[in-house]
Amino acid sequence: MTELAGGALAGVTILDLTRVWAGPLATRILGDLGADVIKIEAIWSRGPQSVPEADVRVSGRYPGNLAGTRPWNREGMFNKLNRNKRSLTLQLDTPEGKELFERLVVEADVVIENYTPRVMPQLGLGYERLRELNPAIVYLAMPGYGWTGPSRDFAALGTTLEPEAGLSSLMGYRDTGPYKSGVAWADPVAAMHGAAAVLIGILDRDAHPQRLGQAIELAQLEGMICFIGPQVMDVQHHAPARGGPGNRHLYHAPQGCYPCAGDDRWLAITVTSDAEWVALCHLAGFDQATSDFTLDQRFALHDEIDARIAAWTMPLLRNDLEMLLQNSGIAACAVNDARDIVENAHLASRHFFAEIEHPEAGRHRFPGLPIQMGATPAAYRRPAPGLGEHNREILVGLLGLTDEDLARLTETKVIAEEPPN
Amino acid sequence: MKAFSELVVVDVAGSVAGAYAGKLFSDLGARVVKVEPPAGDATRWTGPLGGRGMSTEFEYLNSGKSSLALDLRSRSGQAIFRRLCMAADVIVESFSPGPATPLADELTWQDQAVRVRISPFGLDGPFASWKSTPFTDFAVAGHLYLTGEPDREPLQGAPMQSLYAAGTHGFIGALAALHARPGLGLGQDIDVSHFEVMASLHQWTTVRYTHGGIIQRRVGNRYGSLHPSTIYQCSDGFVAFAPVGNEPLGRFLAVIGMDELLLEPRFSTGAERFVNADAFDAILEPWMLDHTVNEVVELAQAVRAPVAPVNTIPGLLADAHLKERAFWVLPEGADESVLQPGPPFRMSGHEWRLRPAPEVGQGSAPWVEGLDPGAHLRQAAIVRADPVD
Repeated sequence: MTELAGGALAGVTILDLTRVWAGPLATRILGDLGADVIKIEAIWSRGPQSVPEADVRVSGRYPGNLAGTRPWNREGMFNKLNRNKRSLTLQLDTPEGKELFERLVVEADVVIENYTPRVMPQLGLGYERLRELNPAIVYLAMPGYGWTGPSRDFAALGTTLEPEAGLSSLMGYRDTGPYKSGVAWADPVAAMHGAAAVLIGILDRDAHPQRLGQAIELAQLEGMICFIGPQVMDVQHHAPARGGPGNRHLYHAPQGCYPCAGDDRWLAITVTSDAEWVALCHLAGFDQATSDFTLDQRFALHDEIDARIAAWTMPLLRNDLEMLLQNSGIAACAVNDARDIVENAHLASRHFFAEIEHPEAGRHRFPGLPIQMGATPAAYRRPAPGLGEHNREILVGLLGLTDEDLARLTETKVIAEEPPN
Repeated sequence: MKAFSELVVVDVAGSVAGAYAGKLFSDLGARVVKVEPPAGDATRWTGPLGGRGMSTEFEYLNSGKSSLALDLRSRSGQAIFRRLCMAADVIVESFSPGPATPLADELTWQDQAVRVRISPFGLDGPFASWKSTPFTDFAVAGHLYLTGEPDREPLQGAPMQSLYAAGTHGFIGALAALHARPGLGLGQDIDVSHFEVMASLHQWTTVRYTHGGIIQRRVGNRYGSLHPSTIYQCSDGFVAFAPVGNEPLGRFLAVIGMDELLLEPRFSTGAERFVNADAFDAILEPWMLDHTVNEVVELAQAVRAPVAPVNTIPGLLADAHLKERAFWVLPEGADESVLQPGPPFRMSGHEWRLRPAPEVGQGSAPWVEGLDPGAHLRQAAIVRADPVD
């Protein structure tokens, strides 16, 4: 297949005002697809000049657990989420910072932010103003709760939105209350919906006779709920809400997480048909009567079946077991940890990981874009930028400022290449 | 550039993943044709049934699509399918594993179409033929290991999440390819796997290993390496409590008269509190149990601390904020009262509509018009008659 230089979104310029996870992941997806993402950062946005030693040690997110003299450019999660982006520091709450931002809006295709709804209007940068500057602009706001409604100004994080959206009530051991996912799941869900929304905005603009952009409001709480639509409907039909209890499946049995040889080693299995059950019984050496169990019987005897499967898996290696079961057509996978994923042979064979060299953080393996595009493959063109690394390139190169302007902006703390003390 | 409402999407999804990608296209106004066997797609009866005798899963995931019921094993069925694909801008397949249709490998001639192929492990690599369920997806991609109590077995997430995530990524890929199509002069194939999608959606799991050599383990309802980001029990339910930073936490603790806690070295930073989380929780938990969920949320949000109720589904449906925003919607013209989630995002210049899911064959007329499937085809159940048109 022929390839298109620069990726599917080559030529699209995005002004990225987002922080933390949901917003930066949305813009990273778009950047991996070829967009030019200009990350606009407050000079203090990466924290202070130094990081408490305990934070470095407990977080494990600094290379070799060393903060270094410039820790703000070495933090691993930031560097994971911000590859393929350029960094411009700008204090939007200063008249000069705002004016420079407005000049960039004229040149850009997209503006993305994840503030609470008060912030952009307070800065004088609400959608009306952006549209005045550039009618073609596609503007995506990603607040937790949206622009209206009684909770609109509430503070939210992915770790509060997932439970609020009802997902936690669908999780939990049989003898406990609700649980959260191991990651702040509402964040990446908002990211993917946000990336999609921006692309629709661009397609709409390109198809529009006057090339008009639009405003997009992504309430992260609402997007999260879209991932459990059938469960919301079931409750209204007076069926029990799906999910759990424990590791059970609603209509397949058995499903469970079974201990294997080693410390905290487990195997996840779902049996989705009678034929698979017969195959599992054969592999595990269960008797004919067990092998004849119907789905109803397997549900009724689930505890006993779990105990028998666990007795079989306990002395065996999880990777041997997943191979054995998969070779018999049964969905079984090892419960992988971080190292298992980073060193996974299947992911390696598909070139999933991006090896990225960062001038201040070294060379590391990061998850790639999980969308393999035949003609416009993702490219990892540049590592995450240092704070303000592209100040000159953008302000002088694109907006035509002078070196004297840069010196003055640095002096007045509108821009910076290191955080304030 | 074609308008979004003129896009033709052929949905041959065999799983929730592709069906959700198709739903996103459909609710946003594209013309989505679901191709299913004459007897109906198996997912029509998978799981709890809704009011129309079809599963809630099917009803939700196929909103606004038309149904073309074809026997793809027959020559005539294949001919109709090929004609449909000639008109397609996007073809969405999702399968587990193996091809979605007997024609999957023959579609390469339609080089204008963007072809989204969603599968558990992708189209190549040593696991390409492996099976998965959302549960095993959660395991293989490292999420199961992180969820649940440290001294108990790992715990599954909410249902089907790997499939919704893979479907949304397929949708993103399709949109990007549509954007690239005028420049390329061609569509392209897009390979999306549940495994890679889920492996890419960790916050810092792989980073902590590649940078700090730390293998992250389960920490119950706590989170990452900072505290408190957790769930607390109140007198009438649970709250998700996440003011991990000293500023929002300090404001909250000041409101309840406990701000001197932050002066203690063991509670002085998020990381210190994480290490000493049992001791911290032992102090906060009795206060929480003495207050209702609403009291805690109101006190916290008044000082901009991120705290929210842990909603049950009925609680979610009763939520005043979502009601005021008219988030819940009924399918247009549907004779029923079961509410569904509204749009995942709201666009000022792009309509989002929720229309009912089709009966088998409903809405197929435009796609068989002029072909005269004729009585002999209908009799052979190759094309099922459209019950409405």
